[in-house]
Amino acid sequence: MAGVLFEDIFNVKDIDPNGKAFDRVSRLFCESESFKMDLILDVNTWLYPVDLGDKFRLVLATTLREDGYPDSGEWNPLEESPRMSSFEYVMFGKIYRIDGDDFTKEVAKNKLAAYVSFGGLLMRLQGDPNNLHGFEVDQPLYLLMKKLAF
Amino acid sequence: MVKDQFRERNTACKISHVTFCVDSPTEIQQQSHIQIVSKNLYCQDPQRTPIPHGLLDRRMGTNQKEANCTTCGQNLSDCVGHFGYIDLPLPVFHIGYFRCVINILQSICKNPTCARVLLGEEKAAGFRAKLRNPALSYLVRKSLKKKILETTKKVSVCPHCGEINGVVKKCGLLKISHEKYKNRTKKKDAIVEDLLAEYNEAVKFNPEIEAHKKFGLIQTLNPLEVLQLFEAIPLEDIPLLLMNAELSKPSDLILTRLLVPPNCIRPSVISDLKSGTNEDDLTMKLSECSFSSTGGSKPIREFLRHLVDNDVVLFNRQPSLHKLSIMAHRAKVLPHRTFRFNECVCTPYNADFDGDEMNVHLPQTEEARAEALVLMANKSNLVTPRNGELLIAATQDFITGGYLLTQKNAFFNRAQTMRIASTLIAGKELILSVVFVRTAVIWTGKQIFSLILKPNRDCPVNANLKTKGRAYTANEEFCHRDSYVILRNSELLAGSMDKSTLGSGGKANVFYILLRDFGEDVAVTAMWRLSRMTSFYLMNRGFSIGIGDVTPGQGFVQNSFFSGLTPTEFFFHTMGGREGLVDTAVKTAETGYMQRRLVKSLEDLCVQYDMSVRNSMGDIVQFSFGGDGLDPSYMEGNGTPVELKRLLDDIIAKNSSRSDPSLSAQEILALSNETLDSKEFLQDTSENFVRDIKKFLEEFSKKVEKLESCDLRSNGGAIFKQVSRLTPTQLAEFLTRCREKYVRAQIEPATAVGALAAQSIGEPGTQMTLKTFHFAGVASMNIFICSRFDFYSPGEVCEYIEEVFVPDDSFILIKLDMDRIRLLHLEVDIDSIRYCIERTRGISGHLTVSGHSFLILKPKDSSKSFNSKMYQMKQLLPSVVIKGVQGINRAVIHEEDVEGVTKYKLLVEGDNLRDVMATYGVKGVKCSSNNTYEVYKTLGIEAARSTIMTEIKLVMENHGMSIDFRHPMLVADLMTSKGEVLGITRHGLAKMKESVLNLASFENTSDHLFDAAFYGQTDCISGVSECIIMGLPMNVGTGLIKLLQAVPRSEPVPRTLLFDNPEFHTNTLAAVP
Repeated sequence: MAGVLFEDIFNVKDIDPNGKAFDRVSRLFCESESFKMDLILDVNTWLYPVDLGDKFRLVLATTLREDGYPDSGEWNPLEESPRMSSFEYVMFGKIYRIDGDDFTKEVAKNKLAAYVSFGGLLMRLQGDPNNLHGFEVDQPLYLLMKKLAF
Repeated sequence: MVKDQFRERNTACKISHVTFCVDSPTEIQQQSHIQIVSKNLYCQDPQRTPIPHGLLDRRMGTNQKEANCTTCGQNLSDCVGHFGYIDLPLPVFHIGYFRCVINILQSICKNPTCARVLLGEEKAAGFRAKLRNPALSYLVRKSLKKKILETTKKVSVCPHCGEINGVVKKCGLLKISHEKYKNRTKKKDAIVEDLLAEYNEAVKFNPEIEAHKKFGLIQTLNPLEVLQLFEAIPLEDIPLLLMNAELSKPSDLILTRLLVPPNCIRPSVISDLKSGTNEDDLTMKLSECSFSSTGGSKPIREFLRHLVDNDVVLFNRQPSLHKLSIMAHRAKVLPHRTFRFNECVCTPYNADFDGDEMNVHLPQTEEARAEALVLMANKSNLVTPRNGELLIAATQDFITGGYLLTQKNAFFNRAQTMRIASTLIAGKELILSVVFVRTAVIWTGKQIFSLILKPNRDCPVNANLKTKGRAYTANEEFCHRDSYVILRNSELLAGSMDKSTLGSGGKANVFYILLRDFGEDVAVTAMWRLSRMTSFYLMNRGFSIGIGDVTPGQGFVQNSFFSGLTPTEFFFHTMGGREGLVDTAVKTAETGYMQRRLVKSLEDLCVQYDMSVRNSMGDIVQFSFGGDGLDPSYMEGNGTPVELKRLLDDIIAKNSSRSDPSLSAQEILALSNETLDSKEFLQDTSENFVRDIKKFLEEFSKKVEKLESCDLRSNGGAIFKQVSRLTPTQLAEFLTRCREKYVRAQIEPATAVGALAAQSIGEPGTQMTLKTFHFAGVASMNIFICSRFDFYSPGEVCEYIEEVFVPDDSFILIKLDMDRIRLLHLEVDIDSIRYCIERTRGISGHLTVSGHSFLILKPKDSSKSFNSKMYQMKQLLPSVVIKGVQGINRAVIHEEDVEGVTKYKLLVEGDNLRDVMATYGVKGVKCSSNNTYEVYKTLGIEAARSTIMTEIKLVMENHGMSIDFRHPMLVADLMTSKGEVLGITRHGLAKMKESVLNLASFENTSDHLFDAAFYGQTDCISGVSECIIMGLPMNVGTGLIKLLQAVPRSEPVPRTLLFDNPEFHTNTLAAVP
């Protein structure tokens, strides 16, 4: 698919380890199946409830257009995207940092993390730098999610 | 009455100086219109006309509405009043000059035909030579007078006429005694003998006066005698009394004529009920005594109008503790009778709405308006000069609203989003928002909040901030309470806003970033947007608290009002509450006085155009303000003009320069050093600043180097371009901005740094609680007693002290407890103890050592009985100091844990730094004291200066107040600028200031004025206080600069001299035969 930066299936390993500080928002700690990437993701559970052990498909794309051309970045209520219709939960945000230093100080050699903020809901995708190709700071980003049935 | 506003006069006349002198009787007459002779006030008629030449004579002005002044013909409100005078039948001492009169009497010969200053020709000539110097300062003149007085006091025989002179002193109220024959009664003195013989003769006839005989030798000097003496003082001796003979004579110090103040200041009230009038006290006093101009200024044509919208007004709330208590606002005229303003400015005024009163002033001239708008506008004073922290910022509901809006779980649908965002359209900006969640289209509060900073894409404001909030836990932005704020290019990416990021009193603040990077207008506009948006949001959302939100109790009172207090807790809670009330009542008075003293001593310090800080006399206090000439209100870091980390992050975020190559660690250092070491860079900035930047960039390059060593950049390819990278353009921009910020932070000439320093120290003083600071830390210390400094006496180390009486001898026997001395590690032996006892006052006797632990004390023969002497010494012995440092009360060793290493500090209570430093085992170079004067005496003035600075800093830190180091530095520099430590008190002030008016406006007003009149002191109106008294613009701030104009000066043409004219020359040589 054109314009897609990353795609994988994630397992939810943990939810809100420090206790639930906010209603309607939960922090998911996940691990991907094929690329072994670590993911921290804030999700609006009011709109999209997620449980421990859930499995979901996650796509990170720069555009919602199937042809891969960048979109205007402005929301148009009349516009319908075919790409969006195949997912259950979509967020729009911005990559604000790509960093090698992990604050948890585990031996994170050869690991890189991309940080994205979806209007305050944060995401951190950490793992092999080769899987983060095409990520750029200040880049607008769409996150598309769909739970997988067992 | 309308107050006249200040206008620059059209003439070249201006008060240049004021000279003080004592009015002579002639001058009093010249100032007066009439002589007062009648003791009665009114004629015996029903109209109650004042008696002519009486105390209420209308020629001295009027105090009645219906009668006009007969001198100038004007009525009660226009007549300024005129003086009269009363001739006294006998001279009297003036209470204000009484001390001066005694001093003069002590200096001169009391022989009325001589009356010269009691100095030999040689000494007098020496003093005259010194006095001839016209540039003598007030202080030097005062000390010269003291010196002459001390010399002449000791002279008992007049070197000019040989007259005997004794001690002159005050005896009783306004009486002066002269003990002429003191110290001469014992010796056989012919004159005294004669005098006594006369008295003895009298005693023969009246034995009762025997007891009063000795008083006959004391002479009482009455005012008449003193006046005669003073009049006889020769003119050439007057300068030796430090008086200015041209201005006033010593005889003027004795009153023979009294000035009567005008009627208008002594109102008399005619009573309708009973017959008679009520008279002022002054009138009555003066009546007892008698028993025994200006050209009108041109009328100013005034244009009167009402205050209208957009007028510049000055807004003020008392107490005006700092300059931010008066600020200029633009007025908006609204109905009703209360002042209204945006709550964001409550902080600098310290205002709330529980009945506060405030004042508004309307500047009248264009100059005043311009000055108010540029210098005093509230938007130009967002930041306090105390430490550069933001003072005008969001408060109360704005913070609450901002906090609730930026919570992680604040989601809004399309209608809600548009409604909140549309509150900002009331201005003029168009808004453009960004989408966020799909399935239900939803925006987050953080996105809406971002509009406050950058409402549309065309807005150039890109603010960057990264800081911890109040509830921060760990893991930066992944803090599970969402309290780590990341603001990137005006987009709120993470964290909820709270008091620390929106409120006043900090630098990690959104509005502070806007102010520093984009200017005051952007910051103020953003604040306005926040006020509108958050108050609207809060109104719609609603907000309330319940009993469940009551703060849990803390400290001694463990329960809150929710859980309920135990009876004991309740009792202690009331105690705490009462103490707090008493504390506030006491400290307001004390800090108010401290503020006044600080301002009085520092008010005229000002940065001059050569960047030095000088007082009004031009004396240098600092060569450059704060050592670096930087303005504390421009400090972005902690006392530094640039917060380097934030600046670099800001630049990297703003200019991504994606196509540029990344710099290697080596290149970063090489490139930056090239700029930093250039002459131009150093010229604009300082060495310290360059060093800080270098240090910062070195650390940054180390991080880059680490990344290089991982060899990831080459392997990973393009993605690693995003990690910790710096491009040449970014680095260049960074260095340019550093330089710009430094240059901008330089203090402006004419800044009244003294007043700012005084306010910066005084204003937070009101927040200081009393006590608390006492013995801070001592309670928690591990204490060991250090015996080397403590006092010990024989009483503590003796087995016994006994009186021994044997048939052929008697003495006091002292038995020392040697075991105890060893146990206490006392470092004394029997000889040192003997020495200590011998040199003690009150012990006179023969002391011998017997064995290694016995001392035998035999009293010497004296007039007192042997027995009582023995007893007295036995009482004295136990308290003799045999060990210890004089002036030290106690010494303790303080154990301190510094980064895992245990360190010991010796703390000594007392005031003998010199001996402590010299004590064996003490490292002298590491000694310090908190007693400024002690440090000055021991280590000198520079050490005292740094002590003052560290002590102020310590006190401020202990009370949790931050203050720029430049302010205490200025205070310390002023206190030590004269070469000795001067306090910020009336005593110190008298040594710092020359100006009489300044000193008189502080404390002891009449003393200073009478003194100045005696010395004939001239005050050149230069300081702030003096200018205010005289109604002149002062020489600080905008008053410092004057418009100078080069006037073409024509050289004086020499007059042709008669003898130079060749026409009148005759050939003299030819004429001589």
